[in-house]
Amino acid sequence: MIMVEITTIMGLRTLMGGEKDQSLTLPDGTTVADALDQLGKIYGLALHDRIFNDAHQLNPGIAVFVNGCVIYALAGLETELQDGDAVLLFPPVGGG
Amino acid sequence: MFQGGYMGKVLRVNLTTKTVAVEDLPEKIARDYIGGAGFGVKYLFDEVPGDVDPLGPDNKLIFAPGPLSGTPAPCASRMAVTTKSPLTGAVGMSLSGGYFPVELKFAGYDVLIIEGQSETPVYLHIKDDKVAIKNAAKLWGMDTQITQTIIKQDLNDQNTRIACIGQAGENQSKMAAIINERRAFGRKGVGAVMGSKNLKAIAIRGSNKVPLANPEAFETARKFMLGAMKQSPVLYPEFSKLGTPMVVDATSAMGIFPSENYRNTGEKDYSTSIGVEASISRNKGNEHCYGCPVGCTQLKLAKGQGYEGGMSDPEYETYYSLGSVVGVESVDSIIYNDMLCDKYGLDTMSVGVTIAFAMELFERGMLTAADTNGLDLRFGNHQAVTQLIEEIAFRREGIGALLCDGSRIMADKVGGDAEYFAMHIKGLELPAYDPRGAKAHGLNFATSYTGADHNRGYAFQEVFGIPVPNAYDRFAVAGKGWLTKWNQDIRCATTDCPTMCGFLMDMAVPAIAEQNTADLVSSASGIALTKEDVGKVGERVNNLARVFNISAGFTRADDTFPKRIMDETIKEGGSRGQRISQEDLDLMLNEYYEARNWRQDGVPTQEKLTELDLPEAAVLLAARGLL
Repeated sequence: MIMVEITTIMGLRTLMGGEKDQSLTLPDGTTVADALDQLGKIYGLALHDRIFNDAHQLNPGIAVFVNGCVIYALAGLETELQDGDAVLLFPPVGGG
Repeated sequence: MFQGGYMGKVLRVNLTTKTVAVEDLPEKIARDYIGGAGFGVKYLFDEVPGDVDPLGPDNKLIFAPGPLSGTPAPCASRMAVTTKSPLTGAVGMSLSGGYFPVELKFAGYDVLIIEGQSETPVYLHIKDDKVAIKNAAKLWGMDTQITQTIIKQDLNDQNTRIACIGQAGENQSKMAAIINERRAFGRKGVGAVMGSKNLKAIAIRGSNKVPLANPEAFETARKFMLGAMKQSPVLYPEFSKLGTPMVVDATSAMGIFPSENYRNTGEKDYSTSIGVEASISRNKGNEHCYGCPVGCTQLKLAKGQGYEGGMSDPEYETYYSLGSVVGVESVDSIIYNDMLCDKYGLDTMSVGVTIAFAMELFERGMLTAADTNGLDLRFGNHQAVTQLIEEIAFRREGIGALLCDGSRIMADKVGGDAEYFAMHIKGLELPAYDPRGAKAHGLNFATSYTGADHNRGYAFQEVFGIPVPNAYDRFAVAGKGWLTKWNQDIRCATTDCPTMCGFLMDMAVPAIAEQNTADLVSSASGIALTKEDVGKVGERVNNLARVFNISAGFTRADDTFPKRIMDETIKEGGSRGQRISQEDLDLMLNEYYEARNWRQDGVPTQEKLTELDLPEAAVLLAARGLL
């Protein structure tokens, strides 16, 4: 098993019990998609549907970083997670 | 000559001779530079020598909206003011939205050039083709809000749009801004240049419409952009409801929201005290710039801690500059101090970062109570920040005079090891992103023609994870030279020149920004531009500005970071372990210059200048033996 740290902000945080940071214990070989599915199982459809579209791809504007690197620069949703990884999940954010 | 978009006229006002002239806008300049920042850089290069004294009579202030300003194009409310910056010595260019910019178009002009220096305080009144230089003796000493009120009363016209300076500009603080209503041409000391000319304000009222060359094609392009905005995952409702303060939460989670003069970025989570949740509880509504359906500006009323009644609209950058970077965790003080900066006409960003610098020196014993007029300058003391804003605005003896010209000059005055803690690049204080955790965003700070300026090449790929044109690891060094060139050119061509709000490019049309600009500008003006032409404009402006800066004395050695960024590693948070070594910087710079087809000393090549049709830049470099 591996343990990963999930962090999120703003609207997504509200859908994840209000906690900004939480740990998830997952089987070896878990991908980013698997981890997000697991979160959907824990917190329900509202969260799942906020993250995924019907084709099970990330909804527009949802950004996922693993250890600081956006998953699109890794293997996308198929990026395999390692023990101790930090996953950052953003709702659509812009400006600045 | 022009079928639309442009009004076809340049208004030139000489404050020394008190003369006014109207010239035609050359079509070649419109085609090659589009407008806004492009016009500003072009006229600055042609008319102001690089070695001119920024606060002397030979410097100029060039106000330029773009061909989309004042048309029904969404979010095209903006205008660039360009000058030689007294803060940096480089090109000083600052953009603002609101309603003042489009009024210049309605009055019939694409460019307003202020030159010379009045012996006594004056303000400029433009009412279509009637242009008057008026006595401003009674306005001198007034803040920006009262100035606007009094001018409207004197002109008996409440609908006049005004840009003015406050006391900071009068006192030629190199951090002085030009304020229009509550918006600001904030950075690079443009307000000091206005003050040096004894020009208190510019009041404009216009009665013209901006014509459209091809209304049907324009409407198609406009509807396309509005559709893209509606489909944006960010604009509605998030950005409309939360505005830029939401970025505090994002950059905090990424570990790039700088705190306490960058000595402990990532160690304390400021989003809990000054993040979007804390600030939204002070909301009193939002405001829209001209022609903007989004209305991201969030008006906030301070609630407590002695700041009751303070009302302002701090943006993301101000939560950093008057918040985390000075160690302040009070939203109310941020709102109040933002209001004070607007009132006196100061750039919140440079002011806050310079105060953070002073706080660090104070905590290290490099400044003492004798230097600070008795103020306790420890991080987190928001009352001291309030006091310092006043000291700076009025250039008061002691700490006010020490801080009021920004970090670089302050470091020189303090001497010793102070420069190590001064967070500026080319004299411009750093924006609210620790470059160690977002390398392309940082490289843009190092290479932007205006100094450490996030808006000249915003790396949304790193900050928001948007995979356009490709996805990038924000910590990586490789590829960031190429990406920075791409970001700088596209940002310049699609937002700074047309002129359009930069947020829209990132949030609505990032993948097709050049085509979107080409469609809107071509149909508005009748000048047929392809997306390749648009891209070339961005490159042309960045190259011409680079050559101006070379003529002002800048070299590769100035494309760098503050020493702290290169020597210290981020210890905690989402960017833990990150720094930018000299080797990293060299790799990125080499790649950046190569991507730009510049020599490795940062000088554009003859080949590049020929490709961009910039013979005037080649002549200047050749005269200096650099070609």
